[in-house]
Amino acid sequence: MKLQKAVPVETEGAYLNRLGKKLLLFFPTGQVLEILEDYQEHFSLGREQRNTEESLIAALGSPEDAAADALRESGQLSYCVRHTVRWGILLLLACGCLCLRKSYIDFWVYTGTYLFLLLGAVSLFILLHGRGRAAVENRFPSRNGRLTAAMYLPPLLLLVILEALAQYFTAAGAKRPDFLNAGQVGPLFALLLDSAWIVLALLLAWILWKTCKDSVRYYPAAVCALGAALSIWELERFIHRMDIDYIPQQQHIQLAVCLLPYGISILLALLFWGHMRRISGKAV
Amino acid sequence: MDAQLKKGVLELCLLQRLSGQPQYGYDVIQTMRKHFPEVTESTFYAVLRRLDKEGAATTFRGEASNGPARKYYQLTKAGRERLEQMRADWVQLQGIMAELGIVK
Repeated sequence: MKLQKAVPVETEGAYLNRLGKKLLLFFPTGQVLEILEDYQEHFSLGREQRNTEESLIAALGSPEDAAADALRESGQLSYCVRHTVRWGILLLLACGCLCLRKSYIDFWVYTGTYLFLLLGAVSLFILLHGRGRAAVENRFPSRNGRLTAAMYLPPLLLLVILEALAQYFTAAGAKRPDFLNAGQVGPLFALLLDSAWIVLALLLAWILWKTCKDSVRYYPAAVCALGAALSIWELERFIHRMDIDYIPQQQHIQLAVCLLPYGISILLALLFWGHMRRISGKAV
Repeated sequence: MDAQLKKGVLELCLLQRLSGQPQYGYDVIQTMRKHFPEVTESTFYAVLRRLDKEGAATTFRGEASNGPARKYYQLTKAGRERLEQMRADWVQLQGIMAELGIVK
């Protein structure tokens, strides 16, 4: 069966990058780089013999067909299947633990959040072939992996707004203006939290889609968005537990603690960023 | 050409091409493309890689007179045996085809 893709590839770099990403679904990174080196040699020999890139690409066939040929001839089960099963189970485990953690005793509530955020982020990175993709992008760059503030700013802004509001209402306590009584603060917060959830879910989906499609360089942004979502979840749980008309001491510290998952996710994002930078050996 | 039929034929042709002097992939494939213009070069590379993996061929890096080192392919003993086997099969098949009147 031949896979048909309408999108044409014009240059050697684009061809190798796309082929590399396809091959990563079928083979481990080492084998992918070997195959790509063969193709690179093919291009350099072809150019020596005064062939144009267009004619060389036409003779090679589309990257999708080339990858499908390579898989068929290797006679192996697609690497992606084995890989996904192995790391997907770990990811599901992390997600499951995260959902069930309400039943944990207090000590594990926070510790659990960090551990599972770490476990989930790492297994998702591996599931997305993070290392392999970074290695392929380094050797055969696609030139469209730009870092965008649009991915990092919304989670940060949402958290700052929600945290500031929560801090204000708890600090003001009984002194808050009359028009904001207990019956109004609740719905207002619920509305804000719900819109924050929707924005974060859409953002996370978009970043993950970009990570899969364009470049693994977007991945740290996904970790940040996930951390922000966890922080908002903590904030929501905290506010639900709280009695709006009787606010005890030190609530502001507990509210600040809700930001810890986001802080951890920023650290994680920096680690991933540094890791990819090290693999690719240049600025990401 | 039918995919099943092509698989065996391409392998036999590549084995034959590699049975002489070591050659680099690019040259082997350019010659093959003259005979099979509808087969993409990627398909030949995939078959070459399989021959390498199965031990029918070995690769080594050789210096070229101009330009960087190139990857050369050479048939191994196992590869030669396989070539002989396939050649025998082919001759036998040809005999049958002739008897049945499929080819003259």
